[in-house]
Parts: sequence; structure tokens; C-alpha cells
Amino acid sequence: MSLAVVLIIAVALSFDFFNGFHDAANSIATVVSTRVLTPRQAVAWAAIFNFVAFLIFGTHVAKTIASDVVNSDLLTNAVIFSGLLGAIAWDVLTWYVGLPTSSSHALVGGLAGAAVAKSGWAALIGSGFQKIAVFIVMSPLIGLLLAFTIMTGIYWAFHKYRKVDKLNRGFRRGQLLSAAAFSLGHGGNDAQKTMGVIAVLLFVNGHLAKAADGTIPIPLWIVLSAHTAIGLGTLFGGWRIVHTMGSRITKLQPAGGMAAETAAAITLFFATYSGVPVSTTHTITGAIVGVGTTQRLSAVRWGVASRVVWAWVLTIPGAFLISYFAYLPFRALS
Amino acid sequence: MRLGRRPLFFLGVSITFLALLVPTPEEFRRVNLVMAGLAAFWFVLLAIEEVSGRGGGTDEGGRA
Repeated sequence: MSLAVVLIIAVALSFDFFNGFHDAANSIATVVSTRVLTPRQAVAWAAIFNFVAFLIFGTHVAKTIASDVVNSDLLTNAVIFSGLLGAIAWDVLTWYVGLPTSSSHALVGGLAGAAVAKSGWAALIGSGFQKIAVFIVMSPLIGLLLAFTIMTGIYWAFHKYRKVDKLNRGFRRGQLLSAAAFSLGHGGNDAQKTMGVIAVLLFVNGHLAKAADGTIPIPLWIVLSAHTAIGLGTLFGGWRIVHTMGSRITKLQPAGGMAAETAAAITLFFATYSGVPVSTTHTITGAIVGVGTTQRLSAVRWGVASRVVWAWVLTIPGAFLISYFAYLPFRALS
Repeated sequence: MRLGRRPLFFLGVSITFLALLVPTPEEFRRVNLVMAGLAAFWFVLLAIEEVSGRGGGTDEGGRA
């Protein structure tokens, strides 16, 4: 394996690490803000389930990233490196301005931009992009509807129950499970995106061959290293961010937190099994909006929701443009 | 008689899922239909609640 390949794998795993670093707050903020777990306990809880997700989900999302976004026969090390560079730069830029963008969409946009800079629009696979684009809109809406349904079900089931303290204790315990489920979904869907990038890199360099069905197989060491990177990212980063997240965006009661996390987890499980890369941030945001809607529409912080819509619109084109220009020096050299 | 914003919000969500049927790959179209149906169910239920004078949502619940 050449030094270039090793370096690009390191960049891809760094991308995964920072994904865990930032997104961990989504899965642990509610557990911390409702004082079910301390921040340190919560990040350890989330990191464990981020890691063990490899035992549950296959590698469908990784295969989508490796085979269905960009024509893998046209890729080179420079294209993959520029794609990762664009995705990371977009993530850092939007984190700085506070736009809740999706690392997943940045990665897809980044790979596409660098591939188009090398080989033109023919490098893109339309059907793969169509699937991802549709779910950019659908995954937050599915999370919203499921969260509203679960929360309303909780109201219906317990509205005559008078022992509020006992009920809250039950929901606090339930939150441990729902946070674990969300972390499983997060680890399953997001770690696989990095696996896809590493697999396609190894294919380009002749270290992996395509399977009979035209997809690139994902070796176990790639699976384990991607899950380790996202788990470590969660462990090191989550507790720093959760203090802000827990009070500013997701100040939920235990029942609401459990409903939002369960709805988002169901959405992520479905997407991961179906091989669709979705944004975990957008999914949990949609679910929180769904819980807020059970009270009244004005209970929802629409400012946050509208920023997510801007993130939908801007992420893929933004990362695309950065990667496109990042590849141009390589094109001039070749 | 005028419907409030909440039922109309769910009607909008239902229409969005139906509008996405065309670009959605065939193997996922059942998801659009199920979700559009669920949103339509909530639209009808919330509309009935408002028409019957029981609407307005609850003050307790998910958010602190």
C-alpha cells in the first residue's frame, strides 16, 4: 500500500472522527439535559453503541457511497483526496457560521465535485444521486411524523395516570434505550460513509476487486476502523458540545426526548438497512420538531428548522464547488 | 369556519410526500405512500378536533 493511500485513509478516518465529535451531541443531549446520565457517562454510552453498530447493520450504505454516487472506474487518489478536502472544508466553514449541515451530504457533494472536475458530468451516477436527494427531504419529515405519532401515543396512553414522578422515572429509563438506539443508527449510517470512501480508494489502487453484482465489497478491517474512529470522536468531542446543545436546542422532558430519539432511530435503521445515506442531524431535528408540534406550532423553534432547510439547499452544491476547485491544481499537474 | 395552522401543516406534509412520489426510486415509493397516509390521518384528526371545539393543543408535554 503506497504512502498516498495510507494518508488518504487517515484523512477519511479523521473525517469520521470529527463526524462523531460533532454529531454525538445529537444523541446524548436529551439524556444529559434530563439528568438521566452525566455528560461523561452519556458520551461513553453513545460511543459504545456507535461502535457496536457494525454487528447489526450490513454495509449497504458503504456500498451506495462506493458504487452508486460516482462512477468508480473514473476515480483517482487525487479525486478522492479533493472530495474529502471539500467535505471537511465545508463542515468546518458551516460549523464556524453555525449552519447545521450534514457531513454525509458534504461527502457526497465533495466526491461529486472532484469527479466532475476530472471527467465531466458523465462521472456522476444519476440514480444514486436521485435516491440521496429525495431522502434529504424525506428523512427529517419521516422523523417528524413518527415523533409526533409516538408523542401523541404517549399522551393517549398516560393522560389519566396521576403518579407523575413514577412516570418520569420510567421515561428516564426509556431514554437510556432510545439514546442507545439513536447512537446505533448514527454509528451504522455515518461510519459506513467513510467505509465507502476507503473501499473505493482501495479499489482504485487495485487492492480490492468488484464483486459479481458490480459493487465493491467492504473488508472487516475497514468496518472496524471506521466504527472505532466515529466512536472515539464521540468519546472525545461529545461532552464539550453537549452543554450548549442540551440547553439551547433540545430542552425536552423525558417523554419528549424518548419520543424524538425513538422516531429518529427508526428512521435511521430503515435508511441504513435500505442503503440510503441520510443526515442524522437533520433526522433528529425533524423528530424534535415533531415532538414540539404536539403542543402547538409556535412551540417549535422555526428558526432552527429554517436553518436546516438552508443546509439542505446549500450543502451539496457548496461542498461540490470547494472540491471542484481543490481538484483543479491536480488537473493542471496531470 | 377556518382551520388552524396545525392541521394545515400536516396536510402540507402529506402533499409533500405525494409530490416526492415521482422522483423517489420505485423500491421506496411505498414509504412515501405510508407517510402521506399517516400525515393525512393526523390532518383529519386534528381538523375534527378543531371543528368540534376541542383543539388548540395541550400546554403540557414534550418541551419544558
